Order: sequence, then structure tokens, then C-alpha cells
Amino acid sequence: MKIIIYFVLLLSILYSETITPIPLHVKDVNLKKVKLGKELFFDVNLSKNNQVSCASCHIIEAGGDDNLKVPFAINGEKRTINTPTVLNSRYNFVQFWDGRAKDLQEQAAGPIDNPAEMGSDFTKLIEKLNATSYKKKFKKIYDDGISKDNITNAIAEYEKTLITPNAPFDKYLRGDINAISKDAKKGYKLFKSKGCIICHNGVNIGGNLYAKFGEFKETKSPSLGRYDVTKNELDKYYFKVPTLRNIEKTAPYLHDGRLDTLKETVKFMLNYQLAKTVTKNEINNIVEFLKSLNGEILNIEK
Amino acid sequence: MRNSDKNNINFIKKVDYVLFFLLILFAIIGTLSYQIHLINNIDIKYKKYDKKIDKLLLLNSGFNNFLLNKRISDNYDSISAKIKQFDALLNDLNEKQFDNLFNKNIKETIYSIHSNFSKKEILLERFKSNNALSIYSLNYLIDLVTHIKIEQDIEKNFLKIINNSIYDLLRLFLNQSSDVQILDEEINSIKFLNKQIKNDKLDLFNTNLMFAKKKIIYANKIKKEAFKIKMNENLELLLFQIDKKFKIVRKKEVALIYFLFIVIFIITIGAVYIYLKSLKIKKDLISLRYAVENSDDSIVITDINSNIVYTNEAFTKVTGYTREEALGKNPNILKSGKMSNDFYKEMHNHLSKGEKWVGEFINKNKNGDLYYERASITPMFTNAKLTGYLAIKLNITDYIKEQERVKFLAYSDPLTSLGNRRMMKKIILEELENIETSKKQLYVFLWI
Repeated sequence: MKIIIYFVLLLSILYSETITPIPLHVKDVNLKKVKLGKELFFDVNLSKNNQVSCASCHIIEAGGDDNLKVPFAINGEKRTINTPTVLNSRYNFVQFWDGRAKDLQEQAAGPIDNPAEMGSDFTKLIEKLNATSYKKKFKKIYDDGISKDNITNAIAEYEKTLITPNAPFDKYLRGDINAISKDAKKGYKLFKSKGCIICHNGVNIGGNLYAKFGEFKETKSPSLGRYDVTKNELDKYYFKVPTLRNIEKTAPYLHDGRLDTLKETVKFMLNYQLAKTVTKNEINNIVEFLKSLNGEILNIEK
Repeated sequence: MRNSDKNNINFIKKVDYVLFFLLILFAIIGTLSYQIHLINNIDIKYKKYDKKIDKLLLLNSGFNNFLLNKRISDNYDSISAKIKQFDALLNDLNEKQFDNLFNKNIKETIYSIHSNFSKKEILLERFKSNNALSIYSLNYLIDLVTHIKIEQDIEKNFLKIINNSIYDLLRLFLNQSSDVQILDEEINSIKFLNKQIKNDKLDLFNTNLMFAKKKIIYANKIKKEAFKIKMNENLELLLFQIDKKFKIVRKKEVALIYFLFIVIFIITIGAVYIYLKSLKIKKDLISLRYAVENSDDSIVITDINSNIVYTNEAFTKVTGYTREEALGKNPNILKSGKMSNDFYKEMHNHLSKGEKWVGEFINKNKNGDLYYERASITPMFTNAKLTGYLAIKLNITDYIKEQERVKFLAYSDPLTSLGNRRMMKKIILEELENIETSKKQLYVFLWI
């Protein structure tokens, strides 16, 4: 009997709604910290050469990433990992492709003192910022003034507000059945029946588990994923499943930016991750669905 | 002047005692309220920890539930949120430093919860990944079977094997059977069949069947490993240890409070007893004072330096000095000069030996009039220490004068006031006595 119930449940999972819309407001933030974090996010002085800010690689209007295959390096180092989007990153269960930061604050410290990215040394950076008006601004919010913890805390607080509610698909989920096109609806159906939804679910349509890159068909990858963090053979080629929100704007795709278009990517993923064949029409429909995931950038200052 | 200083000192001494007593009382009451505050804090802390550990237990059972039921119709947001929540709650227990009430056992338990959680977290993440794939494969297989059934013309026997393989896989997925052998046989049969009919879908089915088997076995292994981690026991132990520790601490604090209450009670009883006793003494003193005040004898009390500290009304009546005038002065203001120095020397000798002295003075009052008094001076001792002198004096001027008059009447003629026979006899007897001692000669002329 239990088997039959499970059988039904198993079938129903592909048709149940496991994607939830993004909340319309952000209420769990300190607005003063957000303001300070925003200033820091866009400030090139946080970098060693005073030319790079967080926003250099996370261009908010361009999908929250840099639209490059792999990011440029200020020290000429060869980069291998595609920049993930900062948008909706608060909904990811861990940060970075390999999940090496457990939250946004931990993540924010990463690029600042990465020699290839912003190349700053926190001790020197704090000295540098203490000579500016930041000293006063920090003191107003944090008792201990400028510190690594407080810099990253403020940036993380700002990043918490970088969400994109009101995507047509979210409106559809909220009951507006005409918010997305017929093709997109078909695409959503395919997204579920083909099995994409097994990994891409939840509010961020992804970002809540690790999955192996090349699950069904082995594929080359320069990065070893989670293995780099745990050094456990079992974690080789496991990456954080990325969000599909605003996916149209965050080309090129995959962790190494190997694919330029959504169509290629959908085909690749179905093939390598799910061992499924797919027709051109199906791909078009799925892409149509993916395009309906573009949201509006929330303006917290309103 | 010196006297008022002394009074001040006495007063300060008195105040010191009262102040000291009050300070002790305040200190005890202060300690008491601090203790009550401490106990309140302990209770709040205990409740906080109790609540946290309860939440951790709940989250852990959520993890176990997830591992058991596989949450196939839910997304992974909730389990990810639970993992984060657990991590945050656990970090709260020792974020910056341990609570100072935590003993070694509690700290060790928390450390072991930390290490067990990191193990469990890794297993949960692996399980999430594998479980997703297991569910996907099962779905894919069911999907493929429907296609195979519709499209292909396959013998009923083989269809039965295919159906059975999915059934067995589901049983494995639900952990109802651990008989992987039967499943392997089925996979081999399908492989064999496919070699004969060479069907793409069947090939795909078989590949997926093996893949799903691998994933499900792996997921089951992870689950087994995760259940080996005694997180629940750890948390229960922590709850027990914290409960025990806090109860002991609380008991100690409560005992101290009881002790302080008892001390305050004893002090209060003591204070009431002393007060009642002092009331009685006061009453006695008032009667004594009344007696002293209204005595016909003049009474003077001096300190050890012979400064007058008390006089009664009779003193004022006799000497003319009011109490205010007399206080602080030496009794020698009454000296008439009619007494020899030897007299005073003898008196001081007595007194300095601590003996009572009794004698008669010829003193001078404020107006300069001489008067006689019979006095007894007693050194006063408190706890074998000389504290002053008490003089009780009776004015005997009238008595002396009366005595002189009687003497006069006895030795003189009432008519002429000249000496009479008795007088002559007295004088002659006196003189005779003198002769015996001085060996002089006596001549008496009698003219009658």
C-alpha cells in the first residue's frame, strides 16, 4: 500500500509546485547598514589599485554578474570560474560555486583580499578607510568602528536587499495566469516533466543543493568544485546548483562559462545532467519559460 | 570646652555603633537582593538554553525525518533553512565564549555536538544531492516504462520482469527490502533481453535502472551513517547536564538566600530584645534619676579628670551654681581655703587607691559664704576601669552651728555668758593631758 502511495507521490512531484515566488519586500535589514554597504559595494577604494569595486564584476543592471566567460584578474592570473550573480544570492544555501562561504558576509570577504580580484589586505584597507569619512560612518553604526567583520557585514546587508521580485513567472505563481506566454507555460511543464525541477526548485529555482557536474555523461571541467574545499573524493565535480532567476541576463553559462546561449545550455544540461533528448521546439519553450524568470530590481530606498 | 569634646566623642561612639549596625543590615539586605537578582538571571539563562536545545532537538528530528521520508514532494529550501538554523543556534551556545556556568562536561558535550553536526551536515548535503537524483531516476524509469509499454511489442514475461524491477527498486528506495540480489538478477535479465531485441528505450531503461540502483544504495548508506551519529543523545545529554548544573547553582544561591533571611531574622529578634531591655533600663534609670534629682543631698559626678559632668538640684541650692555653670568645671571652685593641704592630700590618697573617702569640708558658695558639708566621694568603676567620681554631700552648716551653740550653753553661765564650772573642768583636764606629754608644770589660779 505504502508503495502505491509513494508511486503516486513520485509521479506527482514533477507536477507539484516546488518553486515559490520571491517576496515583494525586504524587511529583515538595517537600513543604515544597507546604505553604508551600498557605498562600499560601489567603492573602488576597497581594491588595492583603486580601480575595482564589488560592482565591477557584479553589475546589478546586467543581471548581477560581469557577462564574461571568466572574470578579469588584476594580477594577470588565469581565472577559471564564471562570476555568479549577486542578485537573489541571499536565497542561496551557501555562496560561491563550491560553497566555501556559508553566508553572504563570509562571501564578501573573499574577493576583497583575493589577489586576482580586488587584491586588498584587510589590515591596510582598514587603515586606508580610517583616513576617510568612512571612519565616522562606521562609528555611527558599529561601536568598534571599521573592521573586517563590519565591512563585510555592511556589504552583506546591502546584498540582502538585492532581490528581483515580480518576475512574470512569479506573477503567474501568484495567480495571474496571463502573466507568461503560452510557450512559457509549455516550457514550465517541460521543465518539470524533463526533471530540471528536481534540482532547480525553491524560491531561487536552484541554490539549495550541490549536484555533480556531468552526472550521466562525464565531461571535462577544470574546476573540481566542492572537492577543492573538502578534499573528499566523493565531492569531486559537485557544484552548487545555480539560481535560474534572471538567467537570460547572466550569459555566458555554467560554472566555467563554456556556453554562450540559453538554448545550448538547456540542451547541454538535459543531455549531461538528465540523460534526456530534447527537440528544438521543446528547447525553445523551456527557454521561453526561463526568460519569464527576469524580475525587477527592488528599490529599497523607496 | 574639653568636656564638650568628650561629649562629642561619646556621641560619635554611640553613632558609630548604630551606623555599624545599619551598615551591616544594609549590606545583608543588599546581598539578599543581589542574590535574588542572580537567581532570576540563572532562571532566565536556563530557560534560554532550554528553549535553544529544544529547538535543536526539533531541528534534528526534522533532519531525521527528511532522511527517512525523503521529502519527495517538497523543495529543498526548508531543509537548507533548517540546517542554517541549527548551525546558528549551535554557534549561539559558544559564540564568543562559553557561559561561565558551563562546566567541563557541558563544554565537552557542546564540542561533540559541533563535531557531530559538521559530520551530519556533510551527510545531509550528500543525501540531498543523491536523493534528488534517486527521485529523478525513478521518475525517469516510470516514464520510460510507459513508453516501452505503448510503443514496443515485448513479451508479457519480459514486461513482468521490467515491472518487477521498478517495484523492487521502489522497495529499495523505501528501504523495505535489502535484497539487492533479486534486483541484480532482473537487471541482468533485461540486459540479456536487450541484446536480443536491441531497443533504444530498453537500453536507456537498463542504464537508468543501474544508475538509480547505485544512487539509491548510496543514499541509503548515507542515511545509515547519518543515523549512526548520536545527535539526539548528545542534545539530550546537554539538556540533562545543563539542567543538573543550573539546579546545583540555583540550590546554592537559594541556600544563601535562606541563610541571609535567617541572619536578618536573628538580627531583628536581637534588636527587638535589646530595645525591650533598654526600655526597662530606661525606666529604671528614670526612677533613679528622679531619686537623684530630688535628693536633699547634693550629688556631683565628675569624670576621671575631675571635671563635673553632673550635678543635681540640691547642689545648686547649696552652692548657688546652676548646672550649666558647674558642668565642665573642677569641684575646687568650691574651695574655701580653710582646709589644710594635708587634708586634700589625704583625700586624694584614698581616692587614687580606689577607696571611698568620707569627711567634712568647709566650702565656699558662689556668694562667698562658707558652709560645712559632710561628703562621701566614691570612685566609679565600669568593667574595672575608673570612669569618674561620685560625690554625695550633705550640708551640715546648721548642725555645726547648733552643736556650737549647745557647747556654748553647756560651758557658760546663762546670765553672764562667762565660762562655768564645767568649762573649767574641761580646760584643766585638757591641760593636764598636755603636761603629761610635754612634761611642763601647771599652775592654776582660782578666784572665786
